[in-house]
Amino acid sequence: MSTTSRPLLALAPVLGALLAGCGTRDPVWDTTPGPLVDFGLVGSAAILDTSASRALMLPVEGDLTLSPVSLPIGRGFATAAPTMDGSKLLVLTHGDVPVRTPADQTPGLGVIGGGTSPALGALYPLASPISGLSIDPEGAFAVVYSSPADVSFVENPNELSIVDLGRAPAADNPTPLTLRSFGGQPQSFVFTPTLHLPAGPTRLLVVLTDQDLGIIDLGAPAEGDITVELSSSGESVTPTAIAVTDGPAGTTDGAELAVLLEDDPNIVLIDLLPVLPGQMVAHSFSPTPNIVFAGGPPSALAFVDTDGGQRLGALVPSQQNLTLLDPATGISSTVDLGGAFESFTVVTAAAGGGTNGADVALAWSTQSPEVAFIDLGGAVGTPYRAVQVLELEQPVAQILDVPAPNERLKLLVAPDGQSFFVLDLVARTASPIASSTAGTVASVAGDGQFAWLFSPGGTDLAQLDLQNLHPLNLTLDDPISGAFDVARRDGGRALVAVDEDADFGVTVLDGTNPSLESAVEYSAVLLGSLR
Amino acid sequence: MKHLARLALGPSLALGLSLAAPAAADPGAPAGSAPAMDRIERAAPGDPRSARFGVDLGARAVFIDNAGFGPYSTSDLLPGLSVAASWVPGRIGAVSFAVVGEYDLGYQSATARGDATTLFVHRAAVGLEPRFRVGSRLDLFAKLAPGVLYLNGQITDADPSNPLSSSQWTWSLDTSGGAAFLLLRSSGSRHVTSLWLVGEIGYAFAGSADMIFAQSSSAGDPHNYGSITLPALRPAGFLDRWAISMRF
Repeated sequence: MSTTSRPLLALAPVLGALLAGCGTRDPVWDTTPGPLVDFGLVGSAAILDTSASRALMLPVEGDLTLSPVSLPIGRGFATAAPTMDGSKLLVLTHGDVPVRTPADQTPGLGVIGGGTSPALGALYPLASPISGLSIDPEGAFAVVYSSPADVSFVENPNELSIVDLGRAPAADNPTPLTLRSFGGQPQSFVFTPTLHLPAGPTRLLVVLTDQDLGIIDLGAPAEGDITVELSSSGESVTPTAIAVTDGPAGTTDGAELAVLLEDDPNIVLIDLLPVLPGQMVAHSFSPTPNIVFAGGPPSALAFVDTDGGQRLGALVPSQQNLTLLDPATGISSTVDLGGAFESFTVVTAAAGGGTNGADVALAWSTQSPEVAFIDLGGAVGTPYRAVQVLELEQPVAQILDVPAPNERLKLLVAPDGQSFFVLDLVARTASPIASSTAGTVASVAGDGQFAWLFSPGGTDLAQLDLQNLHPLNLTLDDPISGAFDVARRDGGRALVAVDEDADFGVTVLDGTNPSLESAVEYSAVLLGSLR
Repeated sequence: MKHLARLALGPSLALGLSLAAPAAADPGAPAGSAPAMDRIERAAPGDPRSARFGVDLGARAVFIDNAGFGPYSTSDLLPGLSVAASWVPGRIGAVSFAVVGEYDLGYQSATARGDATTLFVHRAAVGLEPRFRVGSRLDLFAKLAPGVLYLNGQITDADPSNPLSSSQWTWSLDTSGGAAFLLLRSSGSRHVTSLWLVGEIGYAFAGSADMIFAQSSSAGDPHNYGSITLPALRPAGFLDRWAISMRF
């Protein structure tokens, strides 16, 4: 070995090491955050960091600091939605498509607890990577179905998976089934409350297809659906909504569905009757349809209690009235509303009760600047005295419920996103609240004390005290893309304002006494809590 | 006993002593008054191994196989500048013993999910290094060097004027061995100055540091900044170091 080559020996480890300095860094650091989906749950804000296949949960401590929790959601994010009470977040993932190795992930529906100590719940495996998700308002069931976004080579649009969220994953949970179809495809799903049917109390899943109706007993989903054809004469009809009643208390044969048809003055009433002896059916009830005439195409339906007994209320904008149909006889009466209202809801309890135990309904319109209180305690006997109209400055696009202790209030949102009204159902007043910015988004705090308003993409934020309607305006440093009121770990409340811009920042404010002085600001949140 | 007294002062003085190298060499001391260790064997005058002090300048690289390093680097490599000073209090036969003081500054940068990141790793250590003479121009050595690490990370996001930073301390322990090759030496004097090429490999042990980042709040800044937690960083791994060492 020559003398001059010896120094090279000393350099060899360095050169070798440089060559060996190849990276083993986690690929997540090379991802760009997004698309991001965020939600406000009961005790934390949830940011679905889909490119990192995780949910970043942001519970808030008493000092307004965040205690982020990163939870894996699996690869191939499809969609997500919270349960109505905000206690859970359901995340649907496709997994790896196609699956090539045993290590690849398969489709699944994951459950994340949304409290102040977020945690992964059950993961329900699914047979197909489909993207439709519908969640029971009571949070007990979910349905996964094929959506228009799914573009597999071969698909069965009538294939569903029904997930019982109250049970652990098992061979029969989720329950896969294919709707018995006469050519229709699912469009929407309605979970009924508990109905007292002949075989016992149960809940139903009603599948609205583009031409008929499927009814599935959620107590025995493997039995499949009962398909109810809505047209006997061959013309095409499309169901758009249903109303449900359990019938008189103490009975098991009074449950009934009312089906609203698109641009059709007829309503299909479906009685859920006992199965007759000798009737060859797989289910414990027998749907029996009847057709009633509403006088014009209804825009909304609900079963209501009136001074004449239970009626099916059908709002008929073309007639400017509420038609009250007796389900037993088909006989109808009308309440003149004096305006073309499109939507209505029963607000009896929030309004302090109705006359003679009957219901109170609230009707509104996206076209006409007014709301109507309908006192159904006199709707049959004295319909001319049943309606009280309240003029507004703007029509109503959305109504937000207010939890207790201010459940007597509703927050009405105008289509322009600049006009808001705090409607007092007891006093029957509508207090205007104005925003200087179009498209302002409103939400109501979980404790019912405050509403929050912000302009997406702007820095303005306001807390509206629902007791005295005093707005407290704040200007944050960063643009706001989402604002979520959550319960803090110490029992207080916090507002988590999210900025989805380049640095993904979060500002945390006290939910009761918000101030910039006590607010805590975070930057680059999506770099944090990665494993 | 002057040299033994210096030895007893401990490693913390090694760097300072080496900077005062010419004065500390005690050139006028008679052979009969040499310290005990030197009396065991003393290199012949003019032998480059008679040097008692050294200063190194070079590069050090650690290959960090730790998930916490990912945000700051696209590879496992943490390169850096390395300086060191050594003092040889004595020798036994062909083995000399050096007390070494080292300082390294490692640096890496990358982008993590679109944000620019940087990491500085400061290391200060004091170690013991036995050197074995195996040829006229070649020494082998082993080294054990405990020390401290100061990690300073930075994330620059949408507001470059106020980046997020994290500063953490942790411990380190280098266990290494290598070779020193004599490149040049002065001639004709009793005290030889020589130039060596030093190569070294080993393993750097280190503690784990929680990398908690926050923007800094200066005086008068009304903001309260929260922190984010990146993966804990343990800057441990195989190391190599090479340097030019001047010994005198």
